[in-house]
Amino acid sequence: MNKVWQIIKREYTSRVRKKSFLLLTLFIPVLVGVMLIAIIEIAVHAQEQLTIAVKDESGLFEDKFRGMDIGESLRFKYLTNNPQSLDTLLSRYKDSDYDGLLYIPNIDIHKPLGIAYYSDKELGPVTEQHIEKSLSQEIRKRVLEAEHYNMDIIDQLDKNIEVEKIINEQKRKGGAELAAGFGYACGILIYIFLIVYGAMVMRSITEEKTNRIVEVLVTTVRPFQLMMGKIIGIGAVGLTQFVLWGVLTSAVQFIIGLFFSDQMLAMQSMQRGDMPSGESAQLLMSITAAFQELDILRILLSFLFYFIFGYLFYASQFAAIGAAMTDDSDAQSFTFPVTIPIIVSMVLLSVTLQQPFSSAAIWGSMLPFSSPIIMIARIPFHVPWWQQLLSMAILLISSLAMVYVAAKIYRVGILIQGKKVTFKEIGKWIFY
Amino acid sequence: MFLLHVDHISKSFQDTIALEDVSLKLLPNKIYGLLGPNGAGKTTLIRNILQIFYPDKGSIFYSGEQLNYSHQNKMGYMPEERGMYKQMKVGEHLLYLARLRGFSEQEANLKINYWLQRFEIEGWRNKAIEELSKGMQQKVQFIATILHDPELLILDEPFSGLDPVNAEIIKNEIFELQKKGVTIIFSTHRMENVEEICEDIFLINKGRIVLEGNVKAIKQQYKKNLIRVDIGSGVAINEAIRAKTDIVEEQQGYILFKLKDAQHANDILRLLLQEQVEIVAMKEVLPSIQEIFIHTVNPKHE
Repeated sequence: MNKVWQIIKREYTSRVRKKSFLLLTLFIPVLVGVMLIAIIEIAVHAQEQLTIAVKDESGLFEDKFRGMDIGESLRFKYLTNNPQSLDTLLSRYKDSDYDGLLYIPNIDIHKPLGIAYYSDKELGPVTEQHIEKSLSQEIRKRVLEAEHYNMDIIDQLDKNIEVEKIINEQKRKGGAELAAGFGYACGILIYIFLIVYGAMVMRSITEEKTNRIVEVLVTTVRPFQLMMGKIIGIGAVGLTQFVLWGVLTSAVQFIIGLFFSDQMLAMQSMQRGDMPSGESAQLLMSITAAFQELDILRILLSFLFYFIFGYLFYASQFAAIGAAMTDDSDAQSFTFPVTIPIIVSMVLLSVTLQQPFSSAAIWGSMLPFSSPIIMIARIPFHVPWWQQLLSMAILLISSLAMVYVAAKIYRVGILIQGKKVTFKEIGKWIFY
Repeated sequence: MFLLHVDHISKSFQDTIALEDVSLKLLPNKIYGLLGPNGAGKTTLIRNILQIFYPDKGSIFYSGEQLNYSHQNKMGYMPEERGMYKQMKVGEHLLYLARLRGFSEQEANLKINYWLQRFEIEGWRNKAIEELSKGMQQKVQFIATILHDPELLILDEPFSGLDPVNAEIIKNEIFELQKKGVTIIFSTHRMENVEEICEDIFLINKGRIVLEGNVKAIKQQYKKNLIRVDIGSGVAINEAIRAKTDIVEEQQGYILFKLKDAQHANDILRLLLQEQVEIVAMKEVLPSIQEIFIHTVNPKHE
């Protein structure tokens, strides 16, 4: 055991001390930070303070425009009792420090044509939507009133219907989108980890074989210890990297949150301003509720399990391939059979997120080739326990079996030099 | 008791037979040469001794015990192709290998200090191995091989790529180790050093031991009864001598005689004195291991 520990230590420290590890570890949080700041800055500054003059010949919208301002960033000046013609206004609106002129002709509410916005600057999409939505609401109201509908009933019709989900006698408030997002993120993370660190195991083994250090090492440690030390050491590097990314990214978000709290508040009020009050609060509440419904502890522990054993399952395959390869040029044809199931799992992942209880998704979450990616993506959808436990048992057994087979191939492969080997030969090694 | 007893082992890989009924008996504290052309089975034999492979038939005993993993730490192996972590520092690399052998960090560092000082290369401790020249790397590899004080040292072509000065240093170190009681197997296909270093040799060809024994005894066994006599310059050999001897080679300054049946070196000496040939020196010519090697491996060659 002490020997394996020595190997793990070397594999781990030699990688973690590299500059490239440090750079990559810092790169992701910095990238997230930069993007966050960029988003905030763009959102805040793109919405420069806009003051729009409104010339309403129809007089229908006077009341409406009183409540349409959005904080400091968007203000409307409704020109009442202004006899100036459109042409005069157009030549003058800039002198009065207006950024643009919204012109509403004397329209027929049944045919509201000719509303125009004049400016020398493009109108932002949020603002445009805001204006269009507000005006159509008003027109709709006017039309209904003209037809003598009871406005109270109309208001009732506008209510959103929400389907209450009661799964296993437990109330669920929406959250399918959130679950899908969560599942997707977990699946992708595991996918990246399998591909990147599996390939790292493979390269490192081929390297040791090519520079012959392995011939010295096998006189001291058993090939199995050597292989396991490498797989565990590199896996620990990956785990460290992921944990550091998680911690650093959260820290960056927190710090940015502190420094840009004003701007973020402004952003929130802007988004809220777009919605009738109450609706936004409701959405916020439903998101919070959905988050509470996600069984975070279960997801976290399952993620760890599928992360570790999925890695073991694939890293041992990569290890066997690394040992069988004689030089890097073999890599393409050898890695193909190993990477194909991983890539297929990624395709299956999108199917799974749309239909988490389809038979494809269930099978995908049972087979060890895809379960690390598929099952972890299904867990936020409250997968039955028996399915998860079965899938975990299958993965556990298959990963140990894969380690066993890989060790057999590794033991022979690392000492074969020069000649190219075929898959048939590798198959024979298992039974040596 | 034999330090190592390889008892009739055979090993094959798929269709090829790598070793067939090979036996070796090694006494402690001696230097053995393991000779053979490329592909003869030297490496396979060594790997069986090191327990990297296991024989299909036969067994191996170490100090009378069936070979097992506890014996691995009593052996040191330097493969022909030098294997090192190129990016590691010399000190780190040695420490890692010593730790794998089971030494504590403290013990390991003591040993590393000792050997680095002995080879006068303490200054390299913090250099990355890839910065060193090939000869320097070889020294580091040699230290890595003997760091754990093995009883049995297996060196595969230890002098390849070494300049004469460093080869001499390593050679002296091998003799030093032998004095301390280490048994050494010296595997090579180059014969220059064999006669100088080894007392006994095993000659392996096509998976079989074809010749074994004491170097001197083997030379006697393969000698062709040649006598070289160095003579004064300008001395001529008369017909009387020619009639009574078998001259293989005649050059300015020396003559090579082949002894006839029942003929003795003294007979030739007597004849030459009788005919008043001026003699400067006289010695028996023995075949080199190289010649014996080629003769045994490829008899048609002669």
